[in-house]
Amino acid sequence: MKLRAAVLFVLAARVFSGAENIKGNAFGNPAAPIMIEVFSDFQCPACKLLHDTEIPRLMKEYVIPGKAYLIYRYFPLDMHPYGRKAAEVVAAAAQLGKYEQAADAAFAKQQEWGATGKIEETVDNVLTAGEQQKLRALMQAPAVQQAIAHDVSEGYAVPVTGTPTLLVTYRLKRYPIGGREVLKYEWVKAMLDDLLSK
Amino acid sequence: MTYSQNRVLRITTVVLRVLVGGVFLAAAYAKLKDPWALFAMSIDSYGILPLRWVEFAARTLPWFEAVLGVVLIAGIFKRIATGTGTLLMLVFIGAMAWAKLHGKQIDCGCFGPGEAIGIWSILRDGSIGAALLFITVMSFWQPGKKKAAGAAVDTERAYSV
Repeated sequence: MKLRAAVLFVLAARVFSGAENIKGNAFGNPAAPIMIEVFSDFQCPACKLLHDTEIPRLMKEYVIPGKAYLIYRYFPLDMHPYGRKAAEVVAAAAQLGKYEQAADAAFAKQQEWGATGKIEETVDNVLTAGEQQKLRALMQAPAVQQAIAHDVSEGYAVPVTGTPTLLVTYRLKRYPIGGREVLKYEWVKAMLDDLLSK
Repeated sequence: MTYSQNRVLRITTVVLRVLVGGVFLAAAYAKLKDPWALFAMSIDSYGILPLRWVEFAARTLPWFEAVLGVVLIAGIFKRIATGTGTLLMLVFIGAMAWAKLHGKQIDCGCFGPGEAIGIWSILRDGSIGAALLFITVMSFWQPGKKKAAGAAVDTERAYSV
């Protein structure tokens, strides 16, 4: 019994260990029965597709009604030259309370800054002049670097085999989906409904 | 073929049948313990079946594997079970080879999610398929039984004379 309690405690600690690193990149009720972590790279085309098409449906059908708690995780891939920089810019914007706007802008103009690397200029469009100044300083701030490092190490621990990957946690059981598999909303919905019906 | 050779063949067949049955049970359990949609994603990633068939396969295939595993271990309906298993493995290997040839970097889905298609997974399934083919051939051939039956008739004749 003691062993079981200890295992549950360790699992719970592991599941919620990222809570202190979340700033602006989490949506919904933290007490929702399902937690969905989206491991995503701002320069990854499939992540843009997920962000533009599947995530709004997930938000509408599961996050807003309180069935799921959604967290975006920064998972820049080495194969994308500006993926890391984009994560720093968006994480810095998150510190200013502008995660959603910055992420939307980054994905919307992915092709443009993906060619030039000028992600700051892209995100500047959703910030005030004062916030733009702060963004540059915040990009290398420990809080931003730690948030990214935390998410990347979490991703490797899953393990995330590709982006985007959704990590669905229900009753302490974790189901990584995506990565190498095709992420279709039909299957994600079927899975979430299946879990919620148990 | 000598008596001892027949005996070795029969023992090998039984051992292989039980082992392959165990593999089918393990594969079924790995899929059934998770929501069926996870397996559906693996099947869908191959891009071979239309959506409605993907759902049907994801919901039924693990149960079919479980029944096949039990039947193989129990040693009942041997010819049908081993023949069906061989065909099933041919389908699996064919699908994996097709995905590999088309450059798809996807999960095999053999034992639930998390295992990419690679030489190892194709070789493993190929070995299981070869073992099943061997057991199928043995279930039809059974040289020892025929010989033993023939010998029994001969002995009977000898005594009756």
